[in-house]
Amino acid sequence: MDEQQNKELEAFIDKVMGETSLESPSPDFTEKLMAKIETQSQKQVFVAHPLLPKKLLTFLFLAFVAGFIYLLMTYGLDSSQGWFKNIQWNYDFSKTWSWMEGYTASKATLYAVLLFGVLFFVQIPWLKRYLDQHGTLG
Amino acid sequence: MLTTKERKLIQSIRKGNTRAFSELVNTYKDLVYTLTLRMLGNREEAEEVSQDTFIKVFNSLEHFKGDSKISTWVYRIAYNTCLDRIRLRKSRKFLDVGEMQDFIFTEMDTALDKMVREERGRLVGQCLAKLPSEDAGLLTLFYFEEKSLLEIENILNVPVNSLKVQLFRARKKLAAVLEGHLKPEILQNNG
Repeated sequence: MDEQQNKELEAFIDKVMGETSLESPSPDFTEKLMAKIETQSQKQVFVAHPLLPKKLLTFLFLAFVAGFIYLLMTYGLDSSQGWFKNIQWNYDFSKTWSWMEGYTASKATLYAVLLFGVLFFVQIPWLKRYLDQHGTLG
Repeated sequence: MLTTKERKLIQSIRKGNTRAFSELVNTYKDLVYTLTLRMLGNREEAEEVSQDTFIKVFNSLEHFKGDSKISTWVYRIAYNTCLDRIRLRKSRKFLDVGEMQDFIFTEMDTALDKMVREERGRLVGQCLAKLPSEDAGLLTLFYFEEKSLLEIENILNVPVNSLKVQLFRARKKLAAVLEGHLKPEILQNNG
């Protein structure tokens, strides 16, 4: 092909390609894709990772069971032996809450506490909507 | 490199706002789909590969440094995803241009002019689908990406000089395929 033919070829293909337009995928392309991505993101979010590794948890469990068996074999179930006898089993809780006996609340305090409770639950759907729209609180 | 709007969009997606990603998808889906369709020649496969492309874009957005245009980066992922898909196929398209005769462009032009615009567009689409994938991809990127060889150099990671040679060959192959399709019309015109 000579120079002239090269130019003709370029001009011809320029014209031919000018006849084509961009193709569009199916109308629900973005929706389908976003559904896939959201499923994938949820999977990533809800992967549970234990705070302590499995080996350490197993070791702690075995150590606890071994310690328990050791204590059981050494002292038995008799609570009058060893350090069990130091525990005061008949502990009286009535002294701790005795100050409540004479307590009275005004109506205003009561309504304030109730309103606080209602508003606390109102913010849950509001926060949910905000997170759905923005993805983050930041 | 990145516009302020693109930078904000990327930040929003990185923060976990998946809905902001749909904006990015809507901006580039047509060109990504056209590129995959031209390279693969099959609508269903092209749609599937386009979806894979955007999933890859979403997953690797965290590592995108912003040193190229976002479109360049998205098209590079689309092009490479197509090549991966083609590698899985058993047969590949080859078209030898070595033995091709000279073309008579005026006659091809006349034959094309006699067609309705939609018909011409459809024919060119069919002919592009018959080209080897790399050629179809290169022609699509060149003619829909403002004919910027520098941009395509970044997408395909091929030097501009090599691209010029590849583009010339791709044009020649497309002309040959078109000539084959237009032969009956050309003969009819010549009486």
